[in-house]
Amino acid sequence: MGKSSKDKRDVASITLGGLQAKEQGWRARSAFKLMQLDEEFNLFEGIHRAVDLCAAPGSWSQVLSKRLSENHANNPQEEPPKIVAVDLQAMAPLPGVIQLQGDITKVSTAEQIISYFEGKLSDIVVCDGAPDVTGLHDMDEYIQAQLLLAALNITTHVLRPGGTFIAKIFRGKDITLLYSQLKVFFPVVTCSKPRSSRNSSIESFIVCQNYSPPEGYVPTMANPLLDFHYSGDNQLTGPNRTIVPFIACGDLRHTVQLANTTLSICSSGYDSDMTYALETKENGEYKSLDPLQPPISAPYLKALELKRNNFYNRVA
Amino acid sequence: MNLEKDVFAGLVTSMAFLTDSILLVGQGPWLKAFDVRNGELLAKSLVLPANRIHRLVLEPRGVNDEGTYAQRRKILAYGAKTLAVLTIEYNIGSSSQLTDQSSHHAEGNDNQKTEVVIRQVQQYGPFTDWIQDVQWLYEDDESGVEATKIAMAFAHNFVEVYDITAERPSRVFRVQCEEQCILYSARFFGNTLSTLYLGSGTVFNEVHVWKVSDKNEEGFAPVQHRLVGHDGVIFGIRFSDDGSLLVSVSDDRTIRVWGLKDQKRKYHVIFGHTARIWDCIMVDQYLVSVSEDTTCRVWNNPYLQEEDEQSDSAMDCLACWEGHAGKNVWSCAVSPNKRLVATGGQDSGVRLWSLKAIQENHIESESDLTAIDLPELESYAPQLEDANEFMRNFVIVDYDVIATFTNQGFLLRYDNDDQKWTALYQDDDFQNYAVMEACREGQFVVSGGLQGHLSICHAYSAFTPLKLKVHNSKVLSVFIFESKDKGVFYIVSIGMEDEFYLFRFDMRIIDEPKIRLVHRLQRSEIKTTIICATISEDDSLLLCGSRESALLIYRIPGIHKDASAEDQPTLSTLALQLRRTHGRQAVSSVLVRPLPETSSHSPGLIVLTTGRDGCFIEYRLLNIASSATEDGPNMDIDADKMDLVDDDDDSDEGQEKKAHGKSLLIEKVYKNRVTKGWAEGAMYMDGELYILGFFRKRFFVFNVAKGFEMLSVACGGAHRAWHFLNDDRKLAKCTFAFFRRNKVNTLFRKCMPSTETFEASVQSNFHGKDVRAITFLGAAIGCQEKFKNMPMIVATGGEDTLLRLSQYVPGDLEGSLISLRTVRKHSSVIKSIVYSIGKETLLFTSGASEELRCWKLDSHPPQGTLASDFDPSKDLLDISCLELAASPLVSDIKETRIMDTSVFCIDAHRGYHILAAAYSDSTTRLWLFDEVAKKFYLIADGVWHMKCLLQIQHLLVEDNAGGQGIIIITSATDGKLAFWNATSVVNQFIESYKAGAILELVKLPEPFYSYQAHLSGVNAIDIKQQEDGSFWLASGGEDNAFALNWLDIRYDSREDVPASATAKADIAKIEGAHASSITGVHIVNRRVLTVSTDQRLNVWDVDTTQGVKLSLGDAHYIDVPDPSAMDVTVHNDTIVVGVTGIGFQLLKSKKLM
Repeated sequence: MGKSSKDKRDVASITLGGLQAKEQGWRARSAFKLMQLDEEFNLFEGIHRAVDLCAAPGSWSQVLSKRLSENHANNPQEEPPKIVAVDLQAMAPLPGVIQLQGDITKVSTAEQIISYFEGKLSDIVVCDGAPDVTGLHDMDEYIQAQLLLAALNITTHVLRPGGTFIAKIFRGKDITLLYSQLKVFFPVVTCSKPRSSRNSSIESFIVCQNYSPPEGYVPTMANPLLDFHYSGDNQLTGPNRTIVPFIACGDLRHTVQLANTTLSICSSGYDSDMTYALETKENGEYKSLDPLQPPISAPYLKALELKRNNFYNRVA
Repeated sequence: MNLEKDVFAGLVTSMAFLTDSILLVGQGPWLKAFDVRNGELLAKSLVLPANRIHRLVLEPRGVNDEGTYAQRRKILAYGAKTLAVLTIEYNIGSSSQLTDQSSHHAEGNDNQKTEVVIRQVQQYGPFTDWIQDVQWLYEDDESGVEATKIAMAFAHNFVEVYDITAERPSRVFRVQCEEQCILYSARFFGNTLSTLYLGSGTVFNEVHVWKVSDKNEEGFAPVQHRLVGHDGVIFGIRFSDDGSLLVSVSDDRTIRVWGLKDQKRKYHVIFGHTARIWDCIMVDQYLVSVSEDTTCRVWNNPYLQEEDEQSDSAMDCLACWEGHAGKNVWSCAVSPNKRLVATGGQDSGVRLWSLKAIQENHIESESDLTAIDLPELESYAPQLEDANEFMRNFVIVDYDVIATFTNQGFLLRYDNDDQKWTALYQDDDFQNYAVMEACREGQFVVSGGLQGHLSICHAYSAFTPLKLKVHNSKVLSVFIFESKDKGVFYIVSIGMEDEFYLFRFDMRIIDEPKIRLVHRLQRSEIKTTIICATISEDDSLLLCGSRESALLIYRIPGIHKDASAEDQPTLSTLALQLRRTHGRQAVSSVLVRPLPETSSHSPGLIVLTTGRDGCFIEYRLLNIASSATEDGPNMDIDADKMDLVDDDDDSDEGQEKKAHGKSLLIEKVYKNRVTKGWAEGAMYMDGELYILGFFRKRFFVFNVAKGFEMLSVACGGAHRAWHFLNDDRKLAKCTFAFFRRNKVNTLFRKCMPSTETFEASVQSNFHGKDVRAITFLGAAIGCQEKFKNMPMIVATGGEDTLLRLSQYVPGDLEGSLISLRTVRKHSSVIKSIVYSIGKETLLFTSGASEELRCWKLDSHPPQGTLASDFDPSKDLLDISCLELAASPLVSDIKETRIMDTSVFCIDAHRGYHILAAAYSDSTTRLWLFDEVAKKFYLIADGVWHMKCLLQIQHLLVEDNAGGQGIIIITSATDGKLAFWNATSVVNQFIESYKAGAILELVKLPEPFYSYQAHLSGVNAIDIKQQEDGSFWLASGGEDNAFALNWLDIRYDSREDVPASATAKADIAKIEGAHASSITGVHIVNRRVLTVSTDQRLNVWDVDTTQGVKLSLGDAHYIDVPDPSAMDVTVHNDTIVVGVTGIGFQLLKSKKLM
């Protein structure tokens, strides 16, 4: 799920998306996903304030920063852009992005965001967060749903009515429960899969537009939002299920030209599933691809270090 | 269509022993009961529809119905947000295989069959949140009545208590912990509300213990213990029986044991699993853990170790059980008598292990050892009255045979079988002193005496003892090596002189053994006392280790030749001397084996030394073939100045790393300290390295690759004289002997002493990783034989790179999928399996790395069964899979994957098959496979989609003139389907091929028809001809949509008439057919089946009276997560649907009318 070995299959070889991202200075390949969502949904028009939840390593904040600065450059008379990036862990600073190291389940975090916006609410909230998957699909889907609902909960505190909420989802067995929950707050909910997200990956994005909380709804962090149950409107199986429209988005025709790289096939956009031939002008050798942003510290670093130092192999 | 679920193979996520002989297993939504004595499935019940059972919690107190053997026990099974309360009624019968007397008496009932009935009492839920643990609660600790309440812990760290005595459960208590965060795991301790604690494993890497009945001013339960230290989320928590200890396992690959009553808050960390750990149970002095690394390990619980042993023995791993395939052991359970451990894997397997056997590998007391003492002197030397007689030295001659030299110069043999002593030899030259070595292969003993004599005695007096004077004064050590020539041995004898000797001992004529000096070896100029040696006969090398920490290598040219007796012994000087290899500690053993042929350094030797510094070192010895004269006079190297070579480091700065003279080159490859004590020996068993040694008061055998102690014997400490003999990798048969108090203390182990009988594999393994391809072999089976009843055979393949052929066998409680054949040949994932019948039945498998392989499938009834008598409900098909060929790699691009294939036989007489393949480089490729020549020929290729292809199908269309058109249909991530006419390129190639000419690769003509079916990837397609000659093309996409295109497809063999496809109606499409991507589509009669990642199987009715109308017929929840492929077959008038993903599920319809 999310990271099936299918997805990892070409980590060792050539991830074109990664190479592209690196060439263009994005912190992670996922930057393209937000840009492709924008191409389809025109997310950033007239937008001044944005919140990036679970922001590290920061590629979505980069996209927000770029697009919102462009907005401001085109309309300098309007208020300057403000972007708040929230994450539990620190990340490298980004120009034009205010960083907030905090927990999205805390009211204080919501209050801080609003204070950065000088009392105003955000136009858009994005969340590309995903937990490490265990391989127990039901559990992974549940945890991902809780992350999304926590993001939704803080969103109800900081998003202006009419605003947009975008988050990563796993389209697993109980995804319709999440759709039902989101539809309570947003009349327009679309599931979208950018082309830069692999066909084989379970990951998709939920684009929730025109934030309209139910009448009398008071945002609260005292209780977590919980996902729904199957009901008459949304049954376990059969015709009555809450399934939101699906839109495939993105055509990276314009960004596929890389500085030193020619693609043998690039006429109709980059395909994250396709195996491409890469030729570089340097010595005709494949480029090495270090991670764009080093991975977040892995929990098993200590175990790896010990193994390297032969700690494992001791007895008695 | 009324499909019913049958076989399910998938993750085994929960287990509990009902009794010592009944194991309960939660797999998917089903609860199963197995008899562990014979592996029989006793009961199966669907307890949590649409959810997986995450845990089983037995009521602590069982109920015995008076006057009957029947017993009752309640059990809670929960998963996700639902809970089932069940009652299990059972009685234990005798098992023919049961030999364990104690449990026989406790549980056995000779005249009855073991029976288990699972009764569902109630199903509760869905609750508001995900359940992380449940617990039975009693009114108070004392009363014998049944539990009245259930406590439930939820993922948002709150607990609710429900009264279950009433018809409907009512919530009587709720408390939220002050720490509000998501839990990955939780575990209750206590069985009354007032004594109930919860251990919470938080997403922030902490373990919190809180008392459920406590509330602070704000109404939250305060945390009592914050256990901080893990570096990753907590996947499992367990309390010890008395609640004084808590064990937690984590993403950080550690097990931590925490003392809850301990003021110092001290905890122990255990490293050793190589991936995430899911659970760990405390069992007496042991910890039993299961991990993502596919192993179950047993450890000493460091908390329970004596204070002085703690720091060192904390890492004691006592067993590493590997019985599951692929990835992950998810669950484990320990039997009430603590003798058995059950493990459940990702691979659907349920396995049993003997915890008892661990104790048997840990010899604590002298009562487990045989103390061998000399017999009365008068029994072998009545003439020597009152002589000072005792054992001087001893050797192990065989597993049951010890030989000893006594102070009076007697060589005696002891046979453990009859515990009798036999005198073999007496010689006054061996009084008061003897060095000894024994050879099991030759059954003889070589001894060296105080006056420089060697004696060679056969343990059963097959030849007259030989005696020769070799040295001027006492013999320091002797070594024996086997030659490759059976009956020939080498003996090295070392005395006080400046040289030592190598003899060839030939006992091929057993009663006329010959010994001849073949080499004189010059001692090193520096002080060296050689205490170990080995020989590489093929390489003419002798390698010795010294007490002064040197490794000494001699060339002994011509040793392997059976040189005539006239040859003078040659004198060899040191070829290479490596000093201070183990610091200043003794080199205790040296071992050689050839470098694997696959090594880029080959040919050469791997030299392994162990030392009393507790290390083993691996060297590479190269340039061996060069002649001896090229070696330096005395290559003398200080190992301290030698770094490890790094094979990844290509730079040539490693001068210091390698030590070489003109020819011999030695490189230090690896050094590893395995003990703080002495590493005293090493051996390779089935390629795995075992290190023998002593630490503190124990002797150990350590498995280096798997990192656990295989055997440990309390022997009082390191000994001057000890021997170890073993023959198998499990050390089931071994002998360890050492001197203590003038006795030979010996562990004779003939087999694992454990007498328990249990079925090691209760439920068999399936694929341990994601399954990506499934094909029912249907007609491919039994082509040569006429089966009255056809067996149902399914071929599967996936991420584990295995091709599996399994037979479906119906059963009373559930059918089973029995593995007939597992073929490991692919190097990466298998994505497609297709078959074709020509001269033979051929199977084609393909997948990543452009692998495409062809197999000849041969199947017949088992030996002695006629096809007409074959009963597929009990007989297993004998099936074999012989690889015929692999296709050449044709893509210019590395890592190109074959996404799908389709095949048909174009000329059965000649054995020609056409295979169409969809490649991830967007190329459609057509292959000819000639089964006689066993070769693939690339006919044509074409690129049109410009995106990664996903699916491919072929279609044979006949025209009026009797011609046959070959149409290829492809789909890709662009959401399109394309129709290619491959008829002329294929026919031209075949015609020419028949004539003996192989045509050049040509381009396929552009597709003649295409349409946009989906918004993105088309993951699944199926095409079927209808009765009126038209076609249905069903497709399922990443976009959740299912589309059906009703087509007229025409082909004309006349050159000038192009093939065509015309839609007979608008394309029918259900946009939200599923909530997630559709991964399988199948047309069956006038219905279409779709399966999706949302784990639903939908059956669509198709109405073509006015255009095409699709409507949802049945819908089924599928228990296989991430379903990735589906196949459908009709077998015995029943529609059979196979769905694979993380596991496998089979659904069957009622008999078709």
